[in-house]
Amino acid sequence: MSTQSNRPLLPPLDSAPGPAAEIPTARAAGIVDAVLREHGLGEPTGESGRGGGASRFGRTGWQVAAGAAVVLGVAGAVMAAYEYLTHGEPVPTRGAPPAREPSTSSGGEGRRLTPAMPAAPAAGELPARVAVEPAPESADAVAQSPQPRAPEDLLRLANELRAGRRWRAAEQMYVRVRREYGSAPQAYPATIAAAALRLEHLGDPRGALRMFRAALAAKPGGPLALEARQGIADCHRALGDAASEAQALRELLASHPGSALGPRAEARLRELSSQEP
Amino acid sequence: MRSDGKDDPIRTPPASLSAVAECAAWNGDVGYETSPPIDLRVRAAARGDRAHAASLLAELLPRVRNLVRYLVRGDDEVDDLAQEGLLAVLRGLHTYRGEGSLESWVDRVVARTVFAHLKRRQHDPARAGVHGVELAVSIGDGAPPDVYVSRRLMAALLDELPFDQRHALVLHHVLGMSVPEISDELSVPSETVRSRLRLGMARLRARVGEER
Repeated sequence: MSTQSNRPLLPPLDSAPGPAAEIPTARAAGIVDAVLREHGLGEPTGESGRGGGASRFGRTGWQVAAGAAVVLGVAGAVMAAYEYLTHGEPVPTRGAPPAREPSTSSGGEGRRLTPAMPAAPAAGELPARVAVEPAPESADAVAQSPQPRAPEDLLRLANELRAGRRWRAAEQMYVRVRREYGSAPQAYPATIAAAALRLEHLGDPRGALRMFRAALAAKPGGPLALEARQGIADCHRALGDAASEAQALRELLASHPGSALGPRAEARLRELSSQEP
Repeated sequence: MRSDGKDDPIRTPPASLSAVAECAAWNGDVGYETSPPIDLRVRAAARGDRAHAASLLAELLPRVRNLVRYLVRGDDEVDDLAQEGLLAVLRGLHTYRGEGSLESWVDRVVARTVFAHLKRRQHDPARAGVHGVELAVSIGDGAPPDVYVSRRLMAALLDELPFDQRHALVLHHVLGMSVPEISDELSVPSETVRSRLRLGMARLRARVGEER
């Protein structure tokens, strides 16, 4: 590595990219939304806009977790998301964490984007019971096995493949969830996850666009609709279609007023306008 | 503005105030004659205005993520800790008095949040964190790739340093804190801070030399 002689080793802090890894805008918006929610400022409603109870929250913690999983493919976040989907957990109320909420080591309220690992027993203390569990089956074995699998198992394995940077295999597993369990709750986040992989890692913005559109058509007001609309705009941008990108951004702003993605969408629209001949 | 169209001589704000602070002054939100001007957006966010809070957090997030990455090893925990840091900022926003820049205030809050997390984790060795995935540079937001890459590599070299040297280097060079300020922040003697800076920078320069 070489550093330019006129650049300090450790430059003053700023907002330019680096050293933190860049993340897609949807991911950044998810972080902001999660902070607002933890602080009691949920999605704006027709009233004051200040969250006073869970029923006024347009996006709940598990939805943010699912959105985060779309972008980062963190297994635990999607586990939390489809646990809600499959077990029909009620929308959590402020101050009353749901039964299945992952524990946080900090003890703070709200949900982390990635669940905390469980605390280890104190030194010298043995767990009361030691459960012997069979070794987990590898994702490859599952992928090649014709044996039917539960959708939650396939989704978990897809996330593991993604965490292991096996983009193609992960995408195929997400597509399998969608194909074999199209009506199951897991199909929706799997579609978004597959679309994100196609766009970000597999060089297939057209395929990603089809999947983002499919997810949006299936659930126009779904919990990942914002991510789907941002994904559609990003696909158009990758395809060099400025007009379609601008239209997608306008639809995003109209459909999700006050979202954290709004300022960036507006900024991008201004940029596109300035580029018009 | 008075009814005769002339500026109210008592309420006319000094020319040095930002436009936003001027609005606040005219609205009577800021007693600029007795306290420093504070961004109207910050005040609104502190009062619970969601839109202003969202806008403020979105603007701060890249800087906060960068600071977290400077302070911790690897990318795994950056977003979680950035979220925790922003939450601490939002919760404490009402205590920001406009003394010093907002960014400097935010930097201190975030740094303390990270240090508290690292201290808790010392007593919880099982918390290994989830191994995240390094994402490729996202499309858009065109960063000069050489600057981005060099910063990423610098963070990787910082990962090799002990935390005490790393944090001293970051607080001093990245955040611009003085040795006495770092001494107060970390509750260690000034001479210890100087020693950590000296040793840390020597190791960093040696590693940079090896990488060339």
